[in-house]
Amino acid sequence: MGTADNTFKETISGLLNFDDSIVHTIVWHIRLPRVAVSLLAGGCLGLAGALVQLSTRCELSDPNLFGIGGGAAIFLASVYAGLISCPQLVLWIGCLGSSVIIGLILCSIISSPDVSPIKFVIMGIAVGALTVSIGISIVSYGRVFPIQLIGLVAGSFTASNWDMFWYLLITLGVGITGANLLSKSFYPVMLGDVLSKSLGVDPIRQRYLTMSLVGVLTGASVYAGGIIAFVGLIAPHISRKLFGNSLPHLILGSTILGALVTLCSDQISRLLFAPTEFPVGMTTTIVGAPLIIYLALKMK
Amino acid sequence: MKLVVDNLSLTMDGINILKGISFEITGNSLTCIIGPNGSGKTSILKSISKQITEYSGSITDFHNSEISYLPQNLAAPPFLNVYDVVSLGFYGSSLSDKEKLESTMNLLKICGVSSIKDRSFNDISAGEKQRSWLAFALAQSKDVVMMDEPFAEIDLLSREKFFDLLRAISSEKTLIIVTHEIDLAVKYAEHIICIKEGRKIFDGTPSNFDKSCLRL
Repeated sequence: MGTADNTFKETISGLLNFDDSIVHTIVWHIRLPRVAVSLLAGGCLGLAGALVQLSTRCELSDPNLFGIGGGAAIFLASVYAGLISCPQLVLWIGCLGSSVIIGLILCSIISSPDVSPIKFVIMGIAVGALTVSIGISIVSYGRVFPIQLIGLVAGSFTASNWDMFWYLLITLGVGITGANLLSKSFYPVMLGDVLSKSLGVDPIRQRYLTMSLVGVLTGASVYAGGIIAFVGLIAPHISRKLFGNSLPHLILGSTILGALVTLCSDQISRLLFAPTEFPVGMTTTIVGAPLIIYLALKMK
Repeated sequence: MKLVVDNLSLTMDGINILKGISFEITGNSLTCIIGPNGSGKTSILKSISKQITEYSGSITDFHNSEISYLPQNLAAPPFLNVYDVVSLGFYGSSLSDKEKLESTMNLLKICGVSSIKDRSFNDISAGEKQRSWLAFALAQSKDVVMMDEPFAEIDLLSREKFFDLLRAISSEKTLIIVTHEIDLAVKYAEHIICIKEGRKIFDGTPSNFDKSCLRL
Protein backbone atom coordinates (compact mmCIF):
# COMPACT_ATOMS: atom_id res chain seq x y z
CA MET A 1 0.00 0.00 0.00
CA GLY A 2 1.06 3.62 -0.39
CA THR A 3 3.41 5.30 -2.85
CA ALA A 4 5.37 2.09 -3.40
CA ASP A 5 2.61 -0.42 -3.94
CA ASN A 6 3.88 -3.69 -2.48
CA THR A 7 1.64 -6.65 -1.84
CA PHE A 8 1.20 -7.98 1.68
CA LYS A 9 3.35 -11.02 0.82
CA GLU A 10 6.14 -8.84 -0.55
CA THR A 11 6.04 -6.69 2.56
CA ILE A 12 6.33 -9.68 4.89
CA SER A 13 9.20 -11.12 2.93
CA GLY A 14 10.86 -7.70 2.90
CA LEU A 15 10.47 -7.56 6.65
CA LEU A 16 11.98 -10.97 7.27
CA ASN A 17 14.60 -11.30 4.52
CA PHE A 18 17.66 -9.22 5.14
CA ASP A 19 18.82 -8.63 1.60
CA ASP A 20 19.37 -5.62 -0.59
CA SER A 21 15.96 -5.81 -2.27
CA ILE A 22 13.98 -2.62 -2.71
CA VAL A 23 11.11 -4.00 -0.68
CA HIS A 24 13.44 -4.75 2.25
CA THR A 25 14.83 -1.23 2.11
CA ILE A 26 11.38 0.35 1.96
CA VAL A 27 10.06 -1.70 4.86
CA TRP A 28 13.08 -1.47 7.16
CA HIS A 29 14.35 2.01 6.40
CA ILE A 30 11.21 3.95 5.50
CA ARG A 31 8.01 2.32 6.67
CA LEU A 32 9.00 0.78 10.01
CA PRO A 33 10.89 3.79 11.36
CA ARG A 34 7.94 5.93 10.33
CA VAL A 35 5.51 3.74 12.29
CA ALA A 36 7.82 3.68 15.32
CA VAL A 37 8.56 7.40 15.25
CA SER A 38 4.92 8.40 14.80
CA LEU A 39 3.95 6.17 17.75
CA LEU A 40 6.58 7.71 20.02
CA ALA A 41 5.99 11.29 18.89
CA GLY A 42 2.26 10.77 19.48
CA GLY A 43 2.98 9.32 22.93
CA CYS A 44 5.02 12.43 23.77
CA LEU A 45 2.16 14.67 22.60
CA GLY A 46 -0.54 12.75 24.47
CA LEU A 47 1.44 12.88 27.71
CA ALA A 48 2.32 16.56 27.19
CA GLY A 49 -1.38 17.26 26.67
CA ALA A 50 -2.36 15.56 29.93
CA LEU A 51 0.34 17.47 31.83
CA VAL A 52 -0.49 20.85 30.38
CA GLN A 53 -4.20 20.35 31.17
CA LEU A 54 -3.45 19.32 34.74
CA SER A 55 -1.01 22.08 35.55
CA THR A 56 -3.07 24.90 34.01
CA ARG A 57 -6.40 23.53 35.32
CA CYS A 58 -7.78 24.03 31.84
CA GLU A 59 -9.39 21.21 29.89
CA LEU A 60 -8.96 22.97 26.56
CA SER A 61 -5.17 23.16 26.70
CA ASP A 62 -3.07 21.67 23.90
CA PRO A 63 0.72 22.01 23.77
CA ASN A 64 0.83 22.66 20.01
CA LEU A 65 -2.19 24.95 19.87
CA PHE A 66 -0.54 27.07 22.60
CA GLY A 67 2.79 27.51 20.86
CA ILE A 68 4.91 25.18 22.97
CA GLY A 69 5.60 23.16 19.83
CA GLY A 70 5.96 26.47 17.98
CA GLY A 71 9.16 27.13 19.94
CA ALA A 72 10.76 24.06 18.40
CA ALA A 73 9.28 25.00 15.01
CA ILE A 74 11.10 28.36 15.15
CA PHE A 75 14.35 26.52 15.84
CA LEU A 76 13.73 24.02 13.02
CA ALA A 77 12.79 26.85 10.66
CA SER A 78 16.11 28.56 11.41
CA VAL A 79 17.90 25.33 10.54
CA TYR A 80 15.91 24.85 7.32
CA ALA A 81 16.58 28.46 6.35
CA GLY A 82 20.29 27.90 6.82
CA LEU A 83 20.64 30.33 9.72
CA ILE A 84 21.87 27.54 11.99
CA SER A 85 23.53 24.33 10.88
CA CYS A 86 23.81 21.40 13.23
CA PRO A 87 23.87 17.59 13.47
CA GLN A 88 20.82 15.50 14.45
CA LEU A 89 21.74 15.40 18.14
CA VAL A 90 21.95 19.18 18.40
CA LEU A 91 18.77 19.49 16.33
CA TRP A 92 16.96 17.34 18.90
CA ILE A 93 18.34 19.23 21.89
CA GLY A 94 17.68 22.59 20.22
CA CYS A 95 14.04 21.66 19.65
CA LEU A 96 13.60 20.57 23.28
CA GLY A 97 15.26 23.77 24.54
CA SER A 98 13.23 26.17 22.44
CA SER A 99 9.95 24.49 23.38
CA VAL A 100 10.89 24.60 27.06
CA ILE A 101 11.41 28.37 26.71
CA ILE A 102 7.87 28.87 25.33
CA GLY A 103 6.50 26.55 28.04
CA LEU A 104 8.09 28.72 30.71
CA ILE A 105 6.74 31.90 29.10
CA LEU A 106 3.22 30.43 29.19
CA CYS A 107 3.81 29.45 32.78
CA SER A 108 4.69 32.99 33.78
CA ILE A 109 1.48 34.18 32.08
CA ILE A 110 -0.79 31.83 34.00
CA SER A 111 1.03 32.44 37.28
CA SER A 112 0.03 36.09 37.30
CA PRO A 113 -3.14 36.65 39.34
CA ASP A 114 -6.60 36.89 37.76
CA VAL A 115 -5.87 34.70 34.76
CA SER A 116 -8.91 32.49 34.34
CA PRO A 117 -8.70 29.31 32.24
CA ILE A 118 -10.59 31.04 29.41
CA LYS A 119 -8.21 34.01 29.37
CA PHE A 120 -5.35 31.54 29.38
CA VAL A 121 -6.76 29.70 26.35
CA ILE A 122 -6.97 32.97 24.40
CA MET A 123 -3.46 34.00 25.37
CA GLY A 124 -2.16 30.50 24.62
CA ILE A 125 -3.65 30.55 21.13
CA ALA A 126 -2.10 34.00 20.58
CA VAL A 127 1.31 32.65 21.60
CA GLY A 128 0.72 29.70 19.27
CA ALA A 129 -0.14 31.93 16.31
CA LEU A 130 2.86 34.12 17.07
CA THR A 131 5.35 31.24 17.10
CA VAL A 132 3.99 29.78 13.85
CA SER A 133 4.16 33.21 12.18
CA ILE A 134 7.76 33.68 13.26
CA GLY A 135 8.59 30.15 12.01
CA ILE A 136 6.94 30.76 8.63
CA SER A 137 8.65 34.15 8.27
CA ILE A 138 12.06 32.60 8.89
CA VAL A 139 11.38 29.79 6.41
CA SER A 140 10.15 32.27 3.79
CA TYR A 141 13.25 34.39 4.34
CA GLY A 142 15.37 31.31 3.69
CA ARG A 143 13.45 30.41 0.51
CA VAL A 144 12.96 26.84 1.69
CA PHE A 145 10.98 24.29 -0.36
CA PRO A 146 7.25 24.61 0.34
CA ILE A 147 7.05 20.90 1.17
CA GLN A 148 9.39 21.40 4.15
CA LEU A 149 7.31 24.34 5.31
CA ILE A 150 4.14 22.27 5.16
CA GLY A 151 5.81 19.44 7.07
CA LEU A 152 6.93 21.90 9.73
CA VAL A 153 3.64 23.69 10.42
CA ALA A 154 1.16 20.95 9.51
CA GLY A 155 3.05 17.80 10.52
CA SER A 156 4.79 15.09 8.54
CA PHE A 157 6.67 11.89 9.41
CA THR A 158 8.26 11.41 5.97
CA ALA A 159 11.74 12.18 7.34
CA SER A 160 11.59 9.47 10.03
CA ASN A 161 14.73 7.42 10.69
CA TRP A 162 16.07 5.16 13.40
CA ASP A 163 18.17 7.92 15.02
CA MET A 164 15.00 9.85 15.57
CA PHE A 165 13.43 6.77 17.12
CA TRP A 166 16.14 6.51 19.79
CA TYR A 167 16.03 10.22 20.62
CA LEU A 168 12.26 10.05 21.02
CA LEU A 169 12.47 6.90 23.12
CA ILE A 170 14.82 8.68 25.53
CA THR A 171 12.51 11.72 25.66
CA LEU A 172 9.41 9.69 26.35
CA GLY A 173 11.23 7.72 29.05
CA VAL A 174 12.24 10.97 30.77
CA GLY A 175 8.67 12.29 30.30
CA ILE A 176 6.91 9.32 31.87
CA THR A 177 9.36 9.18 34.79
CA GLY A 178 9.06 12.92 35.40
CA ALA A 179 5.27 12.85 35.15
CA ASN A 180 5.06 10.08 37.73
CA LEU A 181 7.37 11.95 40.11
CA LEU A 182 5.25 15.09 39.79
CA SER A 183 1.89 13.33 39.77
CA LYS A 184 1.07 13.33 43.47
CA SER A 185 1.24 17.11 43.74
CA PHE A 186 -1.21 17.67 40.88
CA TYR A 187 -4.26 17.03 43.05
CA PRO A 188 -3.76 20.08 45.33
CA VAL A 189 -2.80 22.24 42.35
CA MET A 190 -6.17 21.49 40.76
CA LEU A 191 -7.91 23.23 43.70
CA GLY A 192 -6.37 26.58 42.79
CA ASP A 193 -3.37 28.48 44.13
CA VAL A 194 -4.66 29.55 47.55
CA LEU A 195 -5.91 26.10 48.59
CA SER A 196 -2.90 24.39 47.04
CA LYS A 197 -0.61 26.45 49.26
CA SER A 198 -2.77 25.69 52.27
CA LEU A 199 -2.17 21.99 51.57
CA GLY A 200 1.56 22.60 51.48
CA VAL A 201 2.14 22.36 47.72
CA ASP A 202 3.63 25.39 45.94
CA PRO A 203 1.51 25.63 42.77
CA ILE A 204 3.93 27.91 40.94
CA ARG A 205 6.89 25.60 41.42
CA GLN A 206 4.76 22.64 40.31
CA ARG A 207 3.67 24.49 37.17
CA TYR A 208 7.19 25.52 36.18
CA LEU A 209 8.46 21.95 36.61
CA THR A 210 5.50 20.55 34.67
CA MET A 211 5.71 23.05 31.84
CA SER A 212 9.44 22.33 31.44
CA LEU A 213 8.57 18.68 31.04
CA VAL A 214 5.80 19.58 28.59
CA GLY A 215 8.37 21.61 26.62
CA VAL A 216 10.74 18.63 26.45
CA LEU A 217 8.00 16.26 25.26
CA THR A 218 6.45 18.64 22.74
CA GLY A 219 9.82 19.79 21.41
CA ALA A 220 10.78 16.19 20.70
CA SER A 221 7.52 15.56 18.84
CA VAL A 222 8.05 18.65 16.66
CA TYR A 223 11.63 17.58 16.01
CA ALA A 224 10.26 14.31 14.62
CA GLY A 225 7.03 15.32 12.92
CA GLY A 226 6.48 19.06 12.95
CA ILE A 227 3.47 20.71 14.59
CA ILE A 228 0.64 18.22 14.96
CA ALA A 229 -2.22 20.01 16.63
CA PHE A 230 -4.98 18.55 18.82
CA VAL A 231 -3.37 15.18 19.69
CA GLY A 232 -2.45 16.58 23.10
CA LEU A 233 -6.04 17.75 23.52
CA ILE A 234 -7.77 14.59 22.34
CA ALA A 235 -5.68 11.89 24.03
CA PRO A 236 -6.29 12.87 27.68
CA HIS A 237 -10.02 13.23 27.04
CA ILE A 238 -10.35 9.76 25.53
CA SER A 239 -8.17 8.40 28.30
CA ARG A 240 -10.44 9.85 31.00
CA LYS A 241 -13.46 8.27 29.33
CA LEU A 242 -11.80 4.86 28.99
CA PHE A 243 -9.59 4.54 32.06
CA GLY A 244 -11.01 7.05 34.55
CA ASN A 245 -9.54 9.99 36.39
CA SER A 246 -6.77 8.51 38.51
CA LEU A 247 -3.45 10.12 37.66
CA PRO A 248 -1.33 7.00 37.02
CA HIS A 249 -4.03 5.81 34.58
CA LEU A 250 -4.21 9.23 32.97
CA ILE A 251 -0.46 9.47 32.44
CA LEU A 252 -0.17 6.03 30.84
CA GLY A 253 -3.53 6.22 29.04
CA SER A 254 -2.81 9.60 27.43
CA THR A 255 0.59 8.38 26.28
CA ILE A 256 -0.79 5.23 24.67
CA LEU A 257 -3.80 6.97 23.13
CA GLY A 258 -1.66 9.83 21.83
CA ALA A 259 0.57 7.24 20.18
CA LEU A 260 -2.34 5.37 18.59
CA VAL A 261 -4.16 8.51 17.41
CA THR A 262 -1.00 9.81 15.79
CA LEU A 263 -0.12 6.51 14.13
CA CYS A 264 -3.63 6.13 12.71
CA SER A 265 -3.73 9.76 11.56
CA ASP A 266 -0.37 9.39 9.85
CA GLN A 267 -1.44 6.23 8.07
CA ILE A 268 -4.70 7.86 6.95
CA SER A 269 -2.77 10.90 5.70
CA ARG A 270 -0.39 8.63 3.79
CA LEU A 271 -2.88 6.22 2.29
CA LEU A 272 -6.18 8.00 1.77
CA PHE A 273 -5.13 9.81 -1.40
CA ALA A 274 -2.05 7.69 -2.24
CA PRO A 275 0.28 8.36 -3.94
CA THR A 276 -0.36 11.95 -2.75
CA GLU A 277 0.26 12.44 0.97
CA PHE A 278 -1.31 15.18 2.96
CA PRO A 279 -0.02 16.57 6.29
CA VAL A 280 -0.76 14.43 9.36
CA GLY A 281 -1.72 17.55 11.32
CA MET A 282 -4.69 18.02 8.98
CA THR A 283 -6.17 14.65 9.94
CA THR A 284 -5.76 15.34 13.66
CA THR A 285 -7.27 18.81 13.25
CA ILE A 286 -10.30 17.48 11.39
CA VAL A 287 -10.98 15.26 14.41
CA GLY A 288 -9.76 17.67 17.09
CA ALA A 289 -11.39 20.94 16.04
CA PRO A 290 -14.98 19.69 16.43
CA LEU A 291 -13.98 18.14 19.76
CA ILE A 292 -12.72 21.44 21.18
CA ILE A 293 -15.98 23.12 20.10
CA TYR A 294 -18.00 20.36 21.78
CA LEU A 295 -15.94 20.64 25.00
CA ALA A 296 -16.22 24.42 25.04
CA LEU A 297 -19.99 24.16 24.66
CA LYS A 298 -20.15 21.67 27.52
CA MET A 299 -17.93 23.77 29.81
CA LYS A 300 -19.55 25.77 32.59
CA MET B 1 -8.35 29.40 72.17
CA LYS B 2 -8.79 33.08 71.52
CA LEU B 3 -8.12 35.20 68.43
CA VAL B 4 -7.09 38.76 69.27
CA VAL B 5 -6.79 41.44 66.60
CA ASP B 6 -5.36 44.68 67.97
CA ASN B 7 -5.26 48.02 66.16
CA LEU B 8 -5.07 46.41 62.71
CA SER B 9 -4.35 48.95 59.94
CA LEU B 10 -3.59 48.29 56.32
CA THR B 11 -2.56 50.63 53.52
CA MET B 12 -2.18 49.33 49.97
CA ASP B 13 -1.39 51.42 46.90
CA GLY B 14 -1.86 54.56 48.98
CA ILE B 15 -5.38 53.63 50.07
CA ASN B 16 -6.21 53.13 53.76
CA ILE B 17 -8.14 49.88 53.64
CA LEU B 18 -8.26 49.14 57.35
CA LYS B 19 -8.11 51.80 60.02
CA GLY B 20 -7.22 50.61 63.51
CA ILE B 21 -9.51 47.62 63.88
CA SER B 22 -9.52 45.65 67.13
CA PHE B 23 -11.64 42.69 68.19
CA GLU B 24 -11.52 39.39 70.02
CA ILE B 25 -13.02 36.12 68.91
CA THR B 26 -13.46 33.28 71.38
CA GLY B 27 -13.00 29.65 70.41
CA ASN B 28 -15.76 27.33 69.17
CA SER B 29 -18.11 30.03 68.03
CA LEU B 30 -19.75 31.39 64.90
CA THR B 31 -18.66 34.94 64.08
CA CYS B 32 -19.92 36.90 61.09
CA ILE B 33 -18.05 39.88 59.73
CA ILE B 34 -20.54 42.05 57.85
CA GLY B 35 -20.45 45.35 56.05
CA PRO B 36 -20.85 46.95 52.62
CA ASN B 37 -18.76 46.08 49.56
CA GLY B 38 -15.24 47.41 49.71
CA SER B 39 -15.35 48.00 53.47
CA GLY B 40 -12.29 45.83 54.10
CA LYS B 41 -13.87 42.56 55.27
CA THR B 42 -11.83 40.34 52.98
CA SER B 43 -8.62 42.17 53.89
CA ILE B 44 -9.20 41.23 57.53
CA LEU B 45 -9.43 37.54 56.64
CA LYS B 46 -6.37 37.78 54.41
CA SER B 47 -4.41 39.45 57.20
CA ILE B 48 -5.41 36.80 59.72
CA SER B 49 -4.45 34.02 57.29
CA LYS B 50 -1.14 35.78 56.50
CA GLN B 51 -1.87 36.20 52.81
CA ILE B 52 -1.40 39.89 53.45
CA THR B 53 1.54 40.71 55.71
CA GLU B 54 2.01 44.45 55.16
CA TYR B 55 -0.40 45.40 57.95
CA SER B 56 0.41 47.23 61.17
CA GLY B 57 -1.02 46.28 64.54
CA SER B 58 -1.04 42.78 65.94
CA ILE B 59 -2.93 39.54 65.33
CA THR B 60 -2.67 36.46 67.54
CA ASP B 61 0.08 34.50 65.91
CA PHE B 62 -1.61 31.44 64.59
CA HIS B 63 0.66 29.23 62.67
CA ASN B 64 -0.81 28.78 59.24
CA SER B 65 -1.34 25.20 60.27
CA GLU B 66 -4.24 26.20 62.52
CA ILE B 67 -6.33 28.10 59.98
CA SER B 68 -8.26 26.85 57.01
CA TYR B 69 -9.24 29.71 54.70
CA LEU B 70 -11.71 29.43 51.82
CA PRO B 71 -11.46 32.48 49.56
CA GLN B 72 -14.31 33.98 47.57
CA ASN B 73 -15.33 32.63 44.15
CA LEU B 74 -13.39 29.39 44.27
CA ALA B 75 -13.19 28.03 40.74
CA ALA B 76 -14.48 24.49 40.43
CA PRO B 77 -11.52 22.17 40.04
CA PRO B 78 -11.71 20.40 36.68
CA PHE B 79 -11.80 16.60 36.46
CA LEU B 80 -12.59 16.02 40.15
CA ASN B 81 -15.76 14.70 41.75
CA VAL B 82 -17.14 15.78 45.12
CA TYR B 83 -15.50 12.92 46.99
CA ASP B 84 -12.09 13.74 45.44
CA VAL B 85 -12.31 17.38 46.52
CA VAL B 86 -13.31 16.62 50.10
CA SER B 87 -10.73 13.87 50.53
CA LEU B 88 -8.04 16.29 49.31
CA GLY B 89 -8.49 18.07 52.63
CA PHE B 90 -6.56 15.13 54.08
CA TYR B 91 -3.68 15.65 51.64
CA GLY B 92 -0.38 15.18 53.44
CA SER B 93 -2.04 14.04 56.68
CA SER B 94 -0.68 11.00 58.46
CA LEU B 95 -3.98 9.10 58.43
CA SER B 96 -4.09 5.70 56.75
CA ASP B 97 -6.05 5.34 53.51
CA LYS B 98 -8.81 3.53 55.37
CA GLU B 99 -9.07 6.28 57.99
CA LYS B 100 -9.12 8.93 55.27
CA LEU B 101 -11.93 7.10 53.49
CA GLU B 102 -14.00 6.81 56.68
CA SER B 103 -13.41 10.41 57.72
CA THR B 104 -14.24 11.69 54.25
CA MET B 105 -17.50 9.72 54.18
CA ASN B 106 -18.36 11.08 57.60
CA LEU B 107 -17.73 14.69 56.55
CA LEU B 108 -19.75 14.22 53.36
CA LYS B 109 -22.61 13.08 55.55
CA ILE B 110 -22.29 15.93 58.05
CA CYS B 111 -22.34 18.48 55.24
CA GLY B 112 -25.23 16.77 53.46
CA VAL B 113 -23.41 15.96 50.25
CA SER B 114 -22.90 12.20 50.55
CA SER B 115 -25.62 11.48 47.98
CA ILE B 116 -23.74 13.45 45.32
CA LYS B 117 -20.22 12.29 46.17
CA ASP B 118 -19.61 10.71 42.76
CA ARG B 119 -20.81 13.65 40.71
CA SER B 120 -18.39 15.90 38.88
CA PHE B 121 -17.69 19.04 40.90
CA ASN B 122 -18.49 21.11 37.82
CA ASP B 123 -22.03 19.75 37.62
CA ILE B 124 -23.37 20.42 41.12
CA SER B 125 -25.27 23.51 42.31
CA ALA B 126 -23.64 26.52 43.95
CA GLY B 127 -25.10 25.52 47.33
CA GLU B 128 -23.76 21.99 47.01
CA LYS B 129 -20.36 23.37 46.06
CA GLN B 130 -20.18 25.49 49.21
CA ARG B 131 -21.17 22.51 51.37
CA SER B 132 -18.47 20.47 49.70
CA TRP B 133 -15.88 23.20 50.23
CA LEU B 134 -16.89 23.36 53.87
CA ALA B 135 -16.41 19.58 54.13
CA PHE B 136 -12.99 20.05 52.53
CA ALA B 137 -12.08 22.75 55.06
CA LEU B 138 -13.22 20.53 57.92
CA ALA B 139 -11.10 17.69 56.54
CA GLN B 140 -8.07 19.92 56.96
CA SER B 141 -8.75 19.47 60.70
CA LYS B 142 -7.74 22.96 61.79
CA ASP B 143 -9.11 24.93 64.73
CA VAL B 144 -10.25 27.94 62.75
CA VAL B 145 -12.26 27.90 59.50
CA MET B 146 -12.66 31.19 57.66
CA MET B 147 -14.99 31.57 54.68
CA ASP B 148 -15.29 34.61 52.44
CA GLU B 149 -18.77 35.26 51.00
CA PRO B 150 -19.90 31.62 50.87
CA PHE B 151 -23.46 32.68 50.02
CA ALA B 152 -23.04 34.39 46.68
CA GLU B 153 -25.19 32.68 44.04
CA ILE B 154 -27.01 30.55 46.59
CA ASP B 155 -30.79 30.80 46.96
CA LEU B 156 -32.36 31.85 50.24
CA LEU B 157 -33.49 28.39 51.37
CA SER B 158 -30.04 26.94 50.81
CA ARG B 159 -28.51 29.88 52.68
CA GLU B 160 -30.61 29.09 55.73
CA LYS B 161 -29.65 25.44 55.49
CA PHE B 162 -26.00 26.41 55.23
CA PHE B 163 -26.23 28.63 58.31
CA ASP B 164 -27.88 25.77 60.19
CA LEU B 165 -24.93 23.61 59.28
CA LEU B 166 -22.41 26.29 60.32
CA ARG B 167 -24.18 26.71 63.63
CA ALA B 168 -24.01 22.98 64.29
CA ILE B 169 -20.32 22.80 63.44
CA SER B 170 -19.44 25.84 65.55
CA SER B 171 -19.70 23.78 68.72
CA GLU B 172 -16.35 22.24 67.77
CA LYS B 173 -14.73 24.81 65.49
CA THR B 174 -14.10 28.52 65.44
CA LEU B 175 -15.90 29.77 62.34
CA ILE B 176 -15.37 33.24 60.91
CA ILE B 177 -17.66 34.07 58.00
CA VAL B 178 -17.55 37.18 55.86
CA THR B 179 -20.98 37.89 54.40
CA HIS B 180 -23.41 40.47 53.04
CA GLU B 181 -26.25 38.43 54.43
CA ILE B 182 -27.03 40.68 57.41
CA ASP B 183 -30.45 39.29 58.38
CA LEU B 184 -29.29 35.68 58.43
CA ALA B 185 -26.04 36.60 60.17
CA VAL B 186 -28.03 38.26 62.93
CA LYS B 187 -30.33 35.23 63.13
CA TYR B 188 -27.61 32.55 63.34
CA ALA B 189 -24.29 34.04 64.48
CA GLU B 190 -23.21 34.37 68.09
CA HIS B 191 -20.95 37.32 67.40
CA ILE B 192 -21.28 40.11 64.85
CA ILE B 193 -18.49 42.43 63.75
CA CYS B 194 -19.59 45.20 61.41
CA ILE B 195 -17.06 47.03 59.25
CA LYS B 196 -17.65 50.20 57.26
CA GLU B 197 -15.04 52.10 55.27
CA GLY B 198 -12.22 50.30 57.05
CA ARG B 199 -13.51 51.05 60.56
CA LYS B 200 -15.26 48.82 63.05
CA ILE B 201 -18.70 50.25 63.72
CA PHE B 202 -20.19 47.38 65.72
CA ASP B 203 -18.82 44.48 67.76
CA GLY B 204 -21.12 42.40 69.93
CA THR B 205 -23.97 39.94 70.12
CA PRO B 206 -26.67 39.91 67.43
CA SER B 207 -29.34 40.98 69.89
CA ASN B 208 -27.57 44.30 70.38
CA PHE B 209 -27.02 44.87 66.67
CA ASP B 210 -28.88 47.75 65.08
CA LYS B 211 -28.95 47.72 61.32
CA SER B 212 -29.32 51.46 61.14
CA CYS B 213 -25.64 51.88 62.07
CA LEU B 214 -24.80 50.87 58.49
CA ARG B 215 -26.82 53.68 57.00
CA LEU B 216 -25.03 56.49 58.80
